[in-house]
Amino acid sequence: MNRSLLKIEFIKLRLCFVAISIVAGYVLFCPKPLKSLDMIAVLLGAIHGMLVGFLVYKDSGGVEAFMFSRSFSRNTLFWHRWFLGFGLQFATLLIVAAVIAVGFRRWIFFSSAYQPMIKWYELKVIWPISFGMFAGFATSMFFTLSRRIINAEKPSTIIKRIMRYLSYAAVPLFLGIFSVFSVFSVRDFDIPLSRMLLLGWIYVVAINVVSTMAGRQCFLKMEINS
Amino acid sequence: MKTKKMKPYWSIRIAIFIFMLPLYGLVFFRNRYGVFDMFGMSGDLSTAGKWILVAVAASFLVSLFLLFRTGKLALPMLFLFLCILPMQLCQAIFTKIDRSVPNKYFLTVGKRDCVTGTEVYCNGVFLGKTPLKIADDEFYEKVKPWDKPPRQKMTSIREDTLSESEFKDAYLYWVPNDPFGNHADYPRGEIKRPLRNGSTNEKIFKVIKDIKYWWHFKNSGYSGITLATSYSSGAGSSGNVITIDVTPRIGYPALNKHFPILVESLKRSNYQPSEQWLDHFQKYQNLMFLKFYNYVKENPQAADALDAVVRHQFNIGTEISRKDCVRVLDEIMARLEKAGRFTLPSIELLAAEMVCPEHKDVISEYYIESLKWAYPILVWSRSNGIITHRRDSWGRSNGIMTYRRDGKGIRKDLMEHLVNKYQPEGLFNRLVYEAVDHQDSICLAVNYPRKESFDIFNQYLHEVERSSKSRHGSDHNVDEAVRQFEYISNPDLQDRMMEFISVNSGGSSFWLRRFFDRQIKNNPQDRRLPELISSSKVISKHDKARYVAKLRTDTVSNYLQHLSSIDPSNRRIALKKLGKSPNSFADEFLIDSFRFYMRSDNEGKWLRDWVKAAVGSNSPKMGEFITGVFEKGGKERDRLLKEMAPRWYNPAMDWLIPMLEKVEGGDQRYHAASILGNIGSERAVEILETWSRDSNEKIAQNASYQLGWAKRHKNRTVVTPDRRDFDQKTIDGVISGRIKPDDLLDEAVVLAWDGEKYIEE
Repeated sequence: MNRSLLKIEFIKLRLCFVAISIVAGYVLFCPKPLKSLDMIAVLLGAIHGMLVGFLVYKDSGGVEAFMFSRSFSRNTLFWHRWFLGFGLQFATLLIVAAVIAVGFRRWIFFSSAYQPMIKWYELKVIWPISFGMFAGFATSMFFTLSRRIINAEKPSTIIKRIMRYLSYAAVPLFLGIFSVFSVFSVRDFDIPLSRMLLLGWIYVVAINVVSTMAGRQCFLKMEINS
Repeated sequence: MKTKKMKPYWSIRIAIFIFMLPLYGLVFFRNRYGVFDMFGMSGDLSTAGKWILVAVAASFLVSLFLLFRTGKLALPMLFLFLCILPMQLCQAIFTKIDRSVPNKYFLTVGKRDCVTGTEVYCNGVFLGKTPLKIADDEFYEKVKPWDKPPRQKMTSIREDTLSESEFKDAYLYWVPNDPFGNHADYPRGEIKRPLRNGSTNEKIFKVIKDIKYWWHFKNSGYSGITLATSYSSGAGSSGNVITIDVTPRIGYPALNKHFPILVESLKRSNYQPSEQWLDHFQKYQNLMFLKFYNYVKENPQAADALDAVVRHQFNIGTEISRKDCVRVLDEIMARLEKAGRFTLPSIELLAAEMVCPEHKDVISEYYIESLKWAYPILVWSRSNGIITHRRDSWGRSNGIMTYRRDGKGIRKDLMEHLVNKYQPEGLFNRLVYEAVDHQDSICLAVNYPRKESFDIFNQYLHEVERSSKSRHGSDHNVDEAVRQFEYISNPDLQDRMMEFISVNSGGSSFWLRRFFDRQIKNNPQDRRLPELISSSKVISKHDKARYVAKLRTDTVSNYLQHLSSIDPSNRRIALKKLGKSPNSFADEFLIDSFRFYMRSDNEGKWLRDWVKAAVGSNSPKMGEFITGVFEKGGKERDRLLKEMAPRWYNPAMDWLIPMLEKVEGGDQRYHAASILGNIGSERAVEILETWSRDSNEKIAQNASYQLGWAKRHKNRTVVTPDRRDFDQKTIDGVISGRIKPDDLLDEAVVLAWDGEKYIEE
């Protein structure tokens, strides 16, 4: 991808830097020791991932016309954006790991009796963040692209526009409900947590694969508004 | 131009299906409320319930159809949620309201017992080994009722007491119990308990005549006899499923005959057990272990034999490699999981303590592994950040602690014990990290003798205090913290615990009472305890009096008097406690109580406890006071003389003799003779000899009797079971297995039913 396109993509993604700061800020200032079952971390990761997925694949009218009129194939554009999205997520995880590993938390919470014994264990917070992030990215990518192909026309009335955005809201609602049900399922089925987490990861990988496949197909076939 | 709506691709539909798959899976497979389980229970539902179930299934299928038809999310989700609400209704309303649905009963036997593997027989049919669970239909299919009470091959009843009301305390070979019949009305009606303690023989015979089910228990070849009237049972219900728990109190008479023979055999081989002995012990160790463990505690020379038992059973050599340690721990874990319980002390624990000290890294490894299984429930973090996990259940009796947990969760109980004992250094940081969520881990971490331990404990208590003072906090967190104190043995933390308790009272007295019990047992001289106990808001007044009476500080009397001034009944309770465990620090209180009751002319039984407390204390102060009462004479002295007459033995109280010698008058001297017999010193015996020739026949008779008693008491020796003589032939026969444990029993009274009652056969 040439530099000007990359520049446009980064301008589109400027909101993501706020999300990265929020995730890093949480890791830095959370007074409680960071755990591998941190639901707030999952939520922040999911918001971050969804924002990245939405911003990467959502184009405003002008940008869309400019992008798709260049000499790049749609396939190339899709994969470049996909790698850009994942690159941003890994960069966030690296920042989080660095914040913990350098020992910033120890300086901030110097009076905590748990520090510095728990410093390296706190790296486990990367798991819930990445879990939320990858699930959020896949969901957001899929729904953004599928909406672009199913509802290609712009909503004509305000009510239709509201309905459209409400259907977008169904995505986080779905994720939230899934989390709640997961908790209940762990209780009911008496599955050890480690196995439940493994199942969760298999699910995240699966939705990433299917949403990438379906999203790519949508991206290749969607109509471009000029 | 209006753009035509595009149909979704199949990849989109499949992707949406994958997204929704966990939700569909949960709605379908969810325990009790899932479509799958609901269809399984459809037989229990009423007609309305069944129609709702059809609607649920239709809604589920429509949701799936719409998902694949439209490739959209909203409508399929709507139909999926339509499934959930009626499912809850079906379960919550239609199964409970419909009284025509029959209850399903399950009986569990020995679920709460620390001994497992007991064979359960009912009406001669073997039902299985404890912990046993059996459904009512299976039970009635296997077991046919008996028309009349069976012949009792073995009982604890003695020949001479058969005609008295001894049946209520009797242990029987076949014990009557109809668990399903007794719980037929439960939970709507009460549980029937036809056999109760305190019933007379006649009443019991009248009841058991109609009982059709008779139970017998065996373990490792020992025949058990069970208490007839205290066949305890409880029950719990969940919907239409009712579980009846029965924990019989079983005695094994042959065990007391068998054990001394094994010990004698061991003694003769100089506590070096042979292979044959070890094999024999292993066969019976299920019941024998605790007995042998206690024997070794009293006879340390037998410790090598216990060591050999453990090595033999787990095949442990003298050199313990890491591989051995892992193998033994795996075997122990498998045993614990199978039994669903971990007992302290147990042969498994001894084996673990044998292999682990040299391989602390294995302890760390297994502890971390056990964490995966110990907390299958994901608990939402509360606002105060404290998450609590309780052990599933535990019980303590006669110094035996049993933890019960199903599945692999039981591993953690053993590993916690090992971590606490050996404190592997590499595990400390991990424990601190785990401590944030799990209070069990905080106890393990702060027990490490490290300087960080105090800070961690302090921070934990601060968090608890903060949460209990906050608007949303509750005393529950304080109670939980106090519960944890039981597991904290680090001496550096004792002061902080005391400080915490002095400020925070919590909401329940249970754990606080356990804490005080432990503190008083470990350090009764602690001067902070009286203040702490008497100022506690949750400990009852009577408990306070009981606790303070047990302390050994010079302020005990003041606190007891203070408690008595608040509520006069505390005085009586404190006296009772002091009577049971005399305390010389409470002398002033005793003197004050004597004056108080005498002044109020109280004729109650207080003086009996007072005498026990005073005799037990036997301090110079008490001596001085009692001397004063005797010298003063009158009604007070006479009452004291009378109450001091019942049995006790304390030669150190011979300072009382000069006063007793001076006593005159028939009744008074009669009681004085009894007291002299109780003192039993040489001087007392001399006086009794003189009085036995007294002209007053009553005094002379009592003096002679007391003389005999004092002499007998002085020469009394304790016969321990292993002092008996056994011939080598019996020992060899038992060890080789030719003589079975039950063959060692003396001929017992055999009872037969004559149609109305049990009579000796």
